[in-house]
Amino acid sequence: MTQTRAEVPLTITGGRKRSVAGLSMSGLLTRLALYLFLSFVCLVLLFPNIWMISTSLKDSPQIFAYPPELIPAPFLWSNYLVAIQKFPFFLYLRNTLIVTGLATFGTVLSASLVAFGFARRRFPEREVLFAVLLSTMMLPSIVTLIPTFVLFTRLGWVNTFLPLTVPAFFGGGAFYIFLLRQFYLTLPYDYDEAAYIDGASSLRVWWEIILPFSKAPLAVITVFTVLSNWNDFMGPLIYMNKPHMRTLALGLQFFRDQRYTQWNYLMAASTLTLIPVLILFFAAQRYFMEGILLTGLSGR
Amino acid sequence: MALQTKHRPGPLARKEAWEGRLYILPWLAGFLIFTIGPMAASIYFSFTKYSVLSGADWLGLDNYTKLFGADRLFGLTLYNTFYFVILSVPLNLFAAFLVALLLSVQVRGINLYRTLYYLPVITPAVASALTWGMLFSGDFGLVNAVLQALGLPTFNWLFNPKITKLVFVIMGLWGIGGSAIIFLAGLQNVPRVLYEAAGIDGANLWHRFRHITVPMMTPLIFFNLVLGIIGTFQVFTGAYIITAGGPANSTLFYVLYLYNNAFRFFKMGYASALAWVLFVIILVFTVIQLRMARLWVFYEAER
Amino acid sequence: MTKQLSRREFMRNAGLAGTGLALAACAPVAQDGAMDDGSMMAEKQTAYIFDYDPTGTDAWVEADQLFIEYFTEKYPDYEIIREQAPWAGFTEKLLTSIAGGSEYDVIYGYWQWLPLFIENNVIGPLDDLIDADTEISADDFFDYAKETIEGETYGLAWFISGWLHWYNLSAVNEAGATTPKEMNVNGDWDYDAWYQFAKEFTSEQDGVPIYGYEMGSGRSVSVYVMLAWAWGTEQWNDDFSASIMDNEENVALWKWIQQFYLEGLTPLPGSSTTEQPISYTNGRSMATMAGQWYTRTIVQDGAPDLFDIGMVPFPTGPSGQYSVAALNSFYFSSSPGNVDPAWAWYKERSFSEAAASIYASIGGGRFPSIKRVAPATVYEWEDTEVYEAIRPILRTYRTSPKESEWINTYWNVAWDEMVLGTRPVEEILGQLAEESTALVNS
Repeated sequence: MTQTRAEVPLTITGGRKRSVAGLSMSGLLTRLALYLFLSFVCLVLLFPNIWMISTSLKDSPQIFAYPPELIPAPFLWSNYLVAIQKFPFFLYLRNTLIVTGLATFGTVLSASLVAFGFARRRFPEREVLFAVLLSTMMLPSIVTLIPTFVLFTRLGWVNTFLPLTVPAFFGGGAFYIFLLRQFYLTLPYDYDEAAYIDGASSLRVWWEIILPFSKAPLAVITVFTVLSNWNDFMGPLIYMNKPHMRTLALGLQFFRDQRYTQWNYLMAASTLTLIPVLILFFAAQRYFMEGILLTGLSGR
Repeated sequence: MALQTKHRPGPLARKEAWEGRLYILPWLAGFLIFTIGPMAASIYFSFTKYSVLSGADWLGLDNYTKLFGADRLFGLTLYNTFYFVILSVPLNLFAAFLVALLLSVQVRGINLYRTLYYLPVITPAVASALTWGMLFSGDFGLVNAVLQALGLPTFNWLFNPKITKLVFVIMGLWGIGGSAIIFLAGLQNVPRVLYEAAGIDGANLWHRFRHITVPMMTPLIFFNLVLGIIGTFQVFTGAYIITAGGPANSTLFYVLYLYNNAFRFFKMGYASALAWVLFVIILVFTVIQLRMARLWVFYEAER
Repeated sequence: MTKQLSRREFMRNAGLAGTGLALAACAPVAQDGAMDDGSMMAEKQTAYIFDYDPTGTDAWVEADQLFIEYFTEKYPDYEIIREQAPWAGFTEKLLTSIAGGSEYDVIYGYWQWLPLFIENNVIGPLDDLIDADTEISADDFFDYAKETIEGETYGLAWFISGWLHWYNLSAVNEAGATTPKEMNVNGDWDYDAWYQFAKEFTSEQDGVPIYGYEMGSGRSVSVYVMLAWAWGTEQWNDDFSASIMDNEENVALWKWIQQFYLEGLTPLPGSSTTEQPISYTNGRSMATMAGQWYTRTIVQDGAPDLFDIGMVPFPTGPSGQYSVAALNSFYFSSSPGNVDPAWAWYKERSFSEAAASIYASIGGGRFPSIKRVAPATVYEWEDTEVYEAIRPILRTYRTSPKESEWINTYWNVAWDEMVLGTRPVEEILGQLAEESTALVNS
């Protein structure tokens, strides 16, 4: 047992160079087949996005041309300029960044602490409270929307960013806590135990052992939190009465009225809106994909 | 497994318990401040006639008796929802796991693929709605064009009550990026030492997968299963945007019906009753999951 | 052990107390707070408006700006505070605000809500305000411009859509056929002629169908009623106590509509809310039904560059010729905080000459609500003769007491079944009538 404990951290942090699975899948053909397959699935998955970008560059009559045309003719790059002038795009972007930034920071910080409590500290009420935590996800938010709004009205928080950011600092929601707890439970307790024997406090264990080993899940919940706040439309809609406090997700709704949708501008604004999240995801990847699995094609 | 922990002795237990409570305090406080009030209010509303436009009138159990007795749509929407859950949850779980395995392979450019596979999840729902209409249209949709080219029968996908739910199951697969990312992150937490030990024993690929990867991934499979069930029972957005419940109520899922009651018919009381019935249904399924988890979920640090 | 228990008990009690407190905090805010605000504002008189937010629709945004400028100049002592929401989420925003204690003097209306708003005493009748007003009287308005329930008027439309047929004039001329407009003038434009038109112009081009008529909007109850009037019936009996959807006329009419679907003269609905690439404006269906707001769509889709636009009133049925006036109105609070500025705003916004000309650019003005305001058109291809022909046959739809629930739960489903042809029309309508009657009496 003691032997394992000493070995494990070393192996995890240092052992990624070698292909442990030792498969002979590194042949050129195999890799080619893999790329082909990846690309095929990719193409199918990406079709809505390809169509979205194509629509964003079309003029209005071509959008519903028949049969449907994929290639815009002409390419109307100006749609993007028009789209961001239809509403104060950069002001909304700024608001979105503030809300998303604060909410994400609050969620990642507090969820990781709460999950640490649920996963690695024992206390009598733990199971019951965990069940309560899960149950908060089971009631459709449609029926709590009104009372929640009333609550924030009484707190005097309407027309501020507080309803969209403060709750994030209180655990950030069951989803993230549950997810982190599951990750924490996959880490052997031997690490903590060794530290406690050395006299470390639990806060230090959280900071120096759990967090460093949890870069992957933390990156994942960062991406998820950013995404859910970035695309949240109902929150900003009901809490912001002042137009200058609106966010991008709300701005996207302005391309549709009762009878008509300006698809090309909607798609252009949607494309612009998703780019920051896309960049974040690309950047966050190195945290959740340092390792390899059972195959590890060592062709690098 | 080799890394089973032994129980620690008790003197520190009380300190540990208080620490535990302290760590979960942010959530507990948030729950008491922001969550429990609205939840309790919705229970109260479920016993009232409440249009939101004016005050709530006490009805007693009327909403619930109507729901179980007179409301034909309650049964229908439950059926639609169960149909969707039963097909969608296992399919998505399986597909997400496969995609995660596929994306965990280390080859040049894999980062780009991972990003692209996640792209559909980022795309705003209003933006994908148009595309789905285009893809599945009976007259000119790409899906039918492909089927026709292959000599297969074509369908009016979005206007045939027998298959519209299947279309939603298929569309749901575009969203597996989220679950796949969770699996992907989990796959890298599998300690390499385990594979190495297995390698020495001469285990083959399948054995390693079956006896190391899968058991180590069970906490996350469990997570995605529980969340899949909780989330899928509340399926809403697609049907709301694309079909509005039609044709002939074939995609009127439970929460869409609930939403209609709340914000279209201004029957918030009845909607609350519907919500709490769904709450109980999901709770039952989750409790079953939690019970069964003891049989198959492996926690490295189970204490 | 005892210590532990009591601790647990403490936590439980604290939890219960918290719950009670939190629950109290969520009870809807009593709705008398805003009244105080009103009386405190002795100096400047303020009206609170809940309005639609047209951001993104440039013409509308400009019109709104012009109107506000006009209003502030005319009433310098009045202050207008508008809270606005986009169409998506409009109800959610309105309901949460009302539950949070907001009071609005004027609310942007949606006809499906009207009965519920009245039932909950959110809005009140306008009759007393009209009577008290020296500038206007009830007789100034066309009957079709009023949203009236049980003899009381709750809305005076600021925007009226008169529904008509739009057909592909180029295609008709190419085929050397008589145009529907000519038929209408000659008195030959009846439902059989409509059906024949659809049949004649349904064809195929390069393997893809071209439809003779796009019938989709007929599913809307307020459009369907126009056909029903022509056939001598409606959806409800006089006092809304029973559905008459299973009567002879409705059954015959549904069968008449059904042949369009079963014979492939009209496209099957692929989805109900997403726009369809098979449309009149791209030449894939030869005719359709819409209000004059459709002029905007026609221009945006570039249709006038593709073919000539033809317009004609709906045909004469066994019981006459009608067009439905689809109304957009504002509603007035049942307990307004400040009547003067609110009514001034209501009047100016809904039926002043200024508003008529300012809002003509977004499709209004063709069918004015008030007699002294002249009709306005915008595009040179619009057929003013057809507007003239429609005005005398305009009528308004009577809103059933549970409109929204009825449409979403029963009407749409019956319509889908008719389109699919899964059951005989008699059976579908029998069930619809039975369920609808049960609904309005529940």
